[in-house]
Amino acid sequence: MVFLIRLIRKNLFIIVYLLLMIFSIGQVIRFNIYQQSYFFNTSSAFFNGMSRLKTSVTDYFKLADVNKALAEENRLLRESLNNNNQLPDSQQITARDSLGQKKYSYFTANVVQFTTHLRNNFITIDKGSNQGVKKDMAVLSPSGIAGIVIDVSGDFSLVLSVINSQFKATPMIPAANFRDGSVSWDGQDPSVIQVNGVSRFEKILPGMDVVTSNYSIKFPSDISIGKILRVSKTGGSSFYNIDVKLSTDFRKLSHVYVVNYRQNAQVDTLNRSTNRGN
Amino acid sequence: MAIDLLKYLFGAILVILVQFFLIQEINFGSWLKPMPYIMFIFLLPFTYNRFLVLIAAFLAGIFMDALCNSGGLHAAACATLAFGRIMTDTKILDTDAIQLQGFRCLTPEYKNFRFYALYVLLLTFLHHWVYYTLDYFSVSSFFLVLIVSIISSAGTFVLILLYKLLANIR
Repeated sequence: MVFLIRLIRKNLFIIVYLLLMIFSIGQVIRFNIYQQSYFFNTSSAFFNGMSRLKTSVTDYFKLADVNKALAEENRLLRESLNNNNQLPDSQQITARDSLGQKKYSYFTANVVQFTTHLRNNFITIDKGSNQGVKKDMAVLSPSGIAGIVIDVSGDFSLVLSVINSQFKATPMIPAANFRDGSVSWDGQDPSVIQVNGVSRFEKILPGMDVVTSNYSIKFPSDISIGKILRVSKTGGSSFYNIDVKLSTDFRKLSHVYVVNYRQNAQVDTLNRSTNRGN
Repeated sequence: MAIDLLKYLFGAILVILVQFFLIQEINFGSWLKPMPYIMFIFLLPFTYNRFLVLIAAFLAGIFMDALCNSGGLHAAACATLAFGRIMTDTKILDTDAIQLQGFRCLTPEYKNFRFYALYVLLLTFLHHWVYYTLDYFSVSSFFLVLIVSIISSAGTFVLILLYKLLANIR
């Protein structure tokens, strides 16, 4: 016993270092399993003051681009309104969504804090459970997809960004009539994302649009992901390597929309009853 | 002693805020991500208790993590850097002799610039390597991690020199 105590006292510095390392690596691992909210993050109130101060300054530098993106989005919305009115059977189309209810509703939110330089990037937004934001809701930027809500506090929520190694979504390439595979980020360039699992027998060309699939539950369908930048083949593999230029510029993110899928509860119960999870 | 400690605390907070508000906002490229805030760990005097240095570095790391939502990456890397610094100081450098010449910590004026550069670059590389290993968290990206940490270490070193030049820190 005396020997043990002497040993500990002799190596106390190394032991303290190892304890600190175990604590911080534990944090890292817990944060890799992202469903669990972790110890320190910006959805806690204290660190929000700091982040808000930062965005209040950096937002000014992004104003011009943000305005351009919003104007472009307004133009698209107005166009789709006109198109809708001209369609003869537009009444039927809206009615097809279970008894005329709207399928999705949207919250607008401001980005309080975000990163693009890490491998696992997160976005903090200023809407939380008090405003009706819940876990697993999709988040869209004015020009495309942005992420998924993973943690909610009273007035803030933490969003798993698209440029996070944990992010997954199902893509659709309408020009090639392809709807399979998955979108994920390789951690290199925050403006380029990868599409995996596309068979090399499909006819995929650079420049084609990639949008969210209609099989996805969280994301509404036909939301832009980006445009195909490069298509390459590695020898022996039966899949393409596809790089997609993201339509969302994460360095200039400042306004986002949180998507509330209204029948989410029903889908959840269904999945749980058949033990499939989601 | 107490005033000295306050001075270092203020300096640490300052470099961390500069890192958070400025350096991270600059896009140097996907491989170059300098983190010059670690310079305050190099500036702590030799006379300070080694546990104090270790805990201070760890707390700075935790603070940085909380600011940029990065789990425990900075904390682990900073604790390793402080540990590495203490080990180098006690096992390799003759700190008593350096203090007798009137230096509180290692500076470019002691011996020559190359000696200082080696000291800072190796320890910075240790910090960056731990940081990116935990960030990428996969064995297959070992060489990528190595390249990113070498390039970023060089960037961090240049920025540390720039800080020293600007603030004229001894």
